[in-house]
Amino acid sequence: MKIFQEINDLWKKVNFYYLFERVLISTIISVNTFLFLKYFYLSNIYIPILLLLTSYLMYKYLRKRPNFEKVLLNADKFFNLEESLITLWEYKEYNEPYGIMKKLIYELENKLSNKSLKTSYRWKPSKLLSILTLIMIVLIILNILNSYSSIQKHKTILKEENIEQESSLKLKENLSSKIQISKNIQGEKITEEKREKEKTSVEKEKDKVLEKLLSEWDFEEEKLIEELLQKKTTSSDEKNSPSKIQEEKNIQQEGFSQNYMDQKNAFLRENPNKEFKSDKNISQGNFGMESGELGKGIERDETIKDLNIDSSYNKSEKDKEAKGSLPGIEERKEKLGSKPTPRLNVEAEKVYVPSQGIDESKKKVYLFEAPSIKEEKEKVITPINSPVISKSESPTYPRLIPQDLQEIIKSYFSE
Amino acid sequence: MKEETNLKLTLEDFTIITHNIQEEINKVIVGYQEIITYVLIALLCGGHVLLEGVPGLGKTLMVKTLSEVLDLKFSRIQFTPDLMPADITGTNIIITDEKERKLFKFQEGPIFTNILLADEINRATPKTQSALLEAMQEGNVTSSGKVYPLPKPFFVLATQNPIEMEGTYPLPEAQMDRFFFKLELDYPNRDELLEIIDRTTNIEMPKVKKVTNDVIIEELKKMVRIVPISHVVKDYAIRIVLATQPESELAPQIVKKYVRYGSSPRGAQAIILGAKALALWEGRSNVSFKDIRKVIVPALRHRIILSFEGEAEGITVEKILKEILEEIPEIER
Repeated sequence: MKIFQEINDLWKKVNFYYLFERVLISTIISVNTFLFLKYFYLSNIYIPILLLLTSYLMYKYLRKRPNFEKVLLNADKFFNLEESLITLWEYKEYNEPYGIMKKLIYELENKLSNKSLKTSYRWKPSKLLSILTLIMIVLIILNILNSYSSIQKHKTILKEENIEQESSLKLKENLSSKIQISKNIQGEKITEEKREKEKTSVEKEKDKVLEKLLSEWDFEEEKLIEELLQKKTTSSDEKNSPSKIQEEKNIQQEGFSQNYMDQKNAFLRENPNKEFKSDKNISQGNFGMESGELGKGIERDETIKDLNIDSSYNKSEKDKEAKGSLPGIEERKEKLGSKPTPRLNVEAEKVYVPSQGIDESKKKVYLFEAPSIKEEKEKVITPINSPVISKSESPTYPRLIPQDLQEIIKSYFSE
Repeated sequence: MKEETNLKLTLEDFTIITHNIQEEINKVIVGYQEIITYVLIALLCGGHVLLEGVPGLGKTLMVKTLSEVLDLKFSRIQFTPDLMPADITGTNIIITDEKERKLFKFQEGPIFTNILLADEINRATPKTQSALLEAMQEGNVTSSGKVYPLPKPFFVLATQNPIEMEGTYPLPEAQMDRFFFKLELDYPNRDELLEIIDRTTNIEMPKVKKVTNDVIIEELKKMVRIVPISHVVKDYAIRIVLATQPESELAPQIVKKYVRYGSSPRGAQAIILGAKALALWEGRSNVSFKDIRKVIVPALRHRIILSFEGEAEGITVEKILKEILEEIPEIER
C-alpha cells in the first residue's frame, strides 16, 4: 500500500533526525563538560571521566526511540486528516467486515495523492539542544577570554622575569665591580690581570716576610701556626664553596695571620719570657671579624662572637679594669701606665648594596663600614723588625646593620 | 441498499440510511436537526435519550415520526403520579385455556415495544420510574421470577418539563445515568416557527416513508461499535471525563469549586460510542477529536451534579463542560 510506504519513509526520516539530534546532544554535553573542566583547569584529570560520560549518554540516548504517535499526529494536523493517519497506523492489522479500514485507506491515499508525508516532518532543535548549545557558546566565550587573559599574564610574567634577570645581572655586575673595588686599595676598577699581578706581588712579599719570620722563630711554633692556619682554611673551605670567596678568605686569613705575627713578634721582642695572650684565642678558632664576615656574609651574632680578639684588643682600659684581671693587664700598667694606648682610627671603606625594592631616595644604603685592605697591606708591607704600630679600631665600631638590610645581603650572597 | 435477507452493509450504506432517516423526519419536524441527529446516534448506540423542554415543542411528534420512518413499534406512556410499575412492564393475569384450565399468563405492558415515549417521566413516583431501570439497562423485564426479553431495538425517549416542578419526582441520579444523552429543546426561531405553522395548519399533514427496519438498525448498531478510534483520541475522552470529577488532578478549578459528583464510567462509554456513531454519521471511518468534543455536552450534561454553591451561583453544567474542553489539551503534554 502506498500510504504505508509513505508512513515508513516518514518513520525513517524521523529516526534519522532523532539519532542526529541525540548524537548532537551527547556531543554537546561532553564538549560542555570539557569546556567547563578546562575553564577550571581540570581537563587533564577528568578526561577519562569525560569519555565515560559521553559513552554513557550516547548509550542512554540511542536506546530511546522517538514518539512516532506525536509525529503522526503532527502529520494529521499538517494535512488536516482528522486523526485518520494515526488511527490507520494503530489499526493497520485490523480486520472488520464492513470495509471501514479500506475506506480509510482509500480516503487517505486520495488526500495525500499529490503530497508526501515526509514534508510534514521538519526537524527543529529541541529545547534541550538549544539550551545546551547556548551553554556551549557561553563556555567557549569564557574559555577564550580565560586563555586570552592567561596569555596576557604569561606575557607580563615573562616581562617581569626578564626585568628581574636583567636587574639581577646588573646587580651581579655591580657587586663584582664593588668587590673588585673593595679589594683594590684605591677603590678603583681594576682589571683581572692587574689584580693577579697585585696578588702575586703581595704573595711574594708575604713569602719574604714569612721567611724572615721563620728564621727568627722556633720550629715548633712555626708548625703550630701552620696547623692553625690549615685548620682554619679547611673549615672555611667547608663552609664556603665559591672559589672566589675562598681565595678572598685565604688572603684575609693570611693578612690576619701576618698582622697577628707582627703583633706577636713585637710582643715577644719586648717580653721574651711571656706568652702571647692571643694564642689561646687562635687555638680556639677565633680568627677575628674579617674572616667570619667574608666567609658567611654579615651575621650579627656571629660577628660579635668572632670579634673576640679585636674587641678585647679595642676595649678601653676602664672596661678592662671593670671586667677583672685579664692576663697582661698588670704588665701593661707597669709599662704603659694608666694612659690609654694611642689608637689609630682607621677610616672605613663604605660598602653599599644597591637598593632594590627600597625607595629611590635611599639609593645608597650603607650596610657596614669595613676596614680597608689598604691598611692590611700596609701592615704586611711593614718589616717584622720594625716597631709595632698599634692600630686599633674605634670601640664603637659601626658594624651593626639593620635587620632588613641583613636579609637583603643574605639573599644576595646566597645567590 | 442491500437486501435484508443477505444483509452486509458498508460504510456507504450507513451514511445513506442515516441521511434518509433524517430527511424523512425533517419532512415533519421543523428545525431540531441537531436534536434529531443525537436521537438517532443514541438509537444506533443502543442508548436512551432524555429530552427536556417545555410543552408544545413537538417532542412527541418527533418520536412518533421517528418510529414511522424506522418502521419500528412505538408506544407512549404518559407518566402520572398514580402510575404503577405493572402498568409499564405488564402483569400476570389468569386465563382459561382450551381445556377449561385456569393459568397465569404474562400480559406484556407498553414497554414491550421498539420505541417507547415516556412522556413527563418525572411525574411518576420513583417506584414506577425504577421499573424502567432494568428495561433500559438490560433490555429485559422480570415478572414473577421470569425474564421477558424486550424487542430489539429498544429505545426509550423520555421527556420532562423543566418549569413545572410541583407534583414532580426528579429522576434519581442512578436513573439519569441510564440515559445515553440528555437533550434540551429550545424554542424554535422565527423561520422555524413559520414553517411549523405552515406545515401543521394545512389540510394535509406531511407523510413519511419507511426508510429502514429493525434488522437494519441492529446491523447499523454493530457497525458503530467497530469504528476504529485511536488511543490518543480515547485518552482525550478519558481525560475529559476525569476532569469532571472534583477529586481528580485533572479537574479545573471550576469543577473543584462547583461540582459535587462528576461523570461515571458510563459517561466515558457514551462519549466514545457517540463519537463513533457521529463519525459514521458524517461519513468518516475513524473518530477524531472533533467528534469527541461534539458529544461531550449531551453525554455528560446529566451526569454532573452541581454542588450547593454551584446551584446558588447559577453555574450551569454546560459552562463547566465548556471550561473543561478549553483546559484539557488534545494531546497530553
